[in-house]
Amino acid sequence: MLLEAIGETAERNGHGDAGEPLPSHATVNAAMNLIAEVPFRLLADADISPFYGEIHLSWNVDNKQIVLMFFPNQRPLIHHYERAVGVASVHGIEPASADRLAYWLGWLRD
Amino acid sequence: MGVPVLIPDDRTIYRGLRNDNWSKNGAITYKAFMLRPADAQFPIEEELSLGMTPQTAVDELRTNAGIASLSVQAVHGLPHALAVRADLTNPLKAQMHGLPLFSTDPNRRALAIAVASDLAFIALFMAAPI
Repeated sequence: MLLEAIGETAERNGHGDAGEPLPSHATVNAAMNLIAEVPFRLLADADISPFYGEIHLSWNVDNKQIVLMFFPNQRPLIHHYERAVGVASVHGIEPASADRLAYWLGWLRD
Repeated sequence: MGVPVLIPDDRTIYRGLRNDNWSKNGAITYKAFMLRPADAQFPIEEELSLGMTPQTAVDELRTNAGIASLSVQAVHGLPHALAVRADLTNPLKAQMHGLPLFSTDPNRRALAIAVASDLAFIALFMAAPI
């Protein structure tokens, strides 16, 4: 189902946002190939959406968030974020791989 | 033209949700606060468009998926030097200054998502006015 949803991002766009470029099939394929290598049990509750030609998959649990981004002409990235009340939030970004995504999705649910 | 005045901390401002993926299960997502890139029609977005009322947050949108409301005090209290200022062209609008511009550079993108996520955490979802 997740792979189908990624595929559909190439055919739909954000509601009401005419003119935003759709992700290319190459971007969709890159997303599908990486996600196919990640254990399914870690991928639950993903939010999938296009973003100006990119594909974003995000996961939120309490104050933590993971955003996996696929670009038209660039290696995918993982952004990890933890909200901290009253002080600066903690976040970072790194190149995406199936192993690193699995690691960060595990961190999300720690 | 001078610098637009700062909106006082005791006000609430409103962000029209242009896309249905700008909220999920009643929570605002970081995408509601990401500036857009340049395209053939528009230059790169430099300030985030806001309404001073729920109605004026959505009145220029073709369709909308609700509204994010934010306390100006909470926005100014984030550690990002954001400023909510009046829109000089329309007293019923406001703009958020200081958001990171659209970029695919990893470090710039990381900061943009972090700031947008901080804003999403302090935003409250509202249904669009009828």
